[in-house]
Amino acid sequence: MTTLLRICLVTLAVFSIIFMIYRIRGAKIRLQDTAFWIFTAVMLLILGIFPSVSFWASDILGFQSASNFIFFIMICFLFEKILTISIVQSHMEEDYSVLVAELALRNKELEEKINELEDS
Amino acid sequence: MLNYKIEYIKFELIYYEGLTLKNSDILIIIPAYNEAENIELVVDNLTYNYQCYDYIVINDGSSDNTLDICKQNGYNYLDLPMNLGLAGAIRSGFRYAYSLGYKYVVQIDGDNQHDPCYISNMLDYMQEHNDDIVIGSRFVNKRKSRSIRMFGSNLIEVSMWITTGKRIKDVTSGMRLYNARMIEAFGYRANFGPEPDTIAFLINCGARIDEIQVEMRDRVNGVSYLSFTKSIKYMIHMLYGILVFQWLRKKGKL
Repeated sequence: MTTLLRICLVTLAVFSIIFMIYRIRGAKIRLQDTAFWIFTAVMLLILGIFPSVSFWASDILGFQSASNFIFFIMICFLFEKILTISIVQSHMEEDYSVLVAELALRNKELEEKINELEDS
Repeated sequence: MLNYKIEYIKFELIYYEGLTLKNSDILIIIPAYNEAENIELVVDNLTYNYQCYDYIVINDGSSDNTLDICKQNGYNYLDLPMNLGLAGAIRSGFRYAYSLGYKYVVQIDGDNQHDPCYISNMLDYMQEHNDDIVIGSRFVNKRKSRSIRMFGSNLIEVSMWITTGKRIKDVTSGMRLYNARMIEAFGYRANFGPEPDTIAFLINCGARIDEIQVEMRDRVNGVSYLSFTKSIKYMIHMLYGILVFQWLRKKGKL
């Protein structure tokens, strides 16, 4: 594991934490969505600062080098994130079509009521 | 064109029929998700015995006939087109309260667990102590029973105590009284769910929050909102919110 990789990991972690805090302070992100990124950033920070952790883990899991282990971990995280985003997106599209239909129905109901009141 | 017509009809109703939406300074928000068996008990009790308070039922996209019951009995209700969960339902209630200029909001559950007779006590306590939120608590004078649920409640209580220095015994109580500035905060700010993590954050922002003893009935009909996996999720959410997330938020004036 090279020093450059470690520096990359630490910078990435620090930047993502700073960015997250910035978003949270601007009240632009929900609590539920921050947990993943804070957790990931802390993981990367640990891996960057203590390389022995990734040496130990790659020994146990049978990776040829520690950097392979780190790439594997990152791929896992990204895979999980894409999976959840895809599920959420599917939900949202469904909700969106229901909402538009509801809106049209309620508008129609309202218009009919108003016409009724006007006629009477 | 439609807006103009609505305004006109509203005007006619208010000035010629003497009909107003707002008769009191206090609004009771009743979130209802699949509460067809209970909602009549709750609202009829309010309309017969507590006419001094206004109320609004928030139908949170129920799949049973909660909405039909509200319509048939002529209740004052908001109908959310889909299920948002408790936080979203309460939020629409707060926005309704803000738009009509209510001074106090009481949140009670739609399952008839909370008795509205304590509202006047809570109101007195709030005015006396100049509080922002008064929580109707089961455990001010009484001890908690030993169960997994109470263990969770204790865990949240302790983490709130560590981070705020204040002990709130019944953090998950669904009966709360809010004042005007809380109505605005809860209705319009991000990450202001009606949950313990928000309470902890508010205490650290300088809000005054107290609790007084109330008695609660057990749920008679229907099932609770929280299943086991939901409870676990809820616990993780709360502990993360209290122990980590609140330190990253901007402490503003309220």
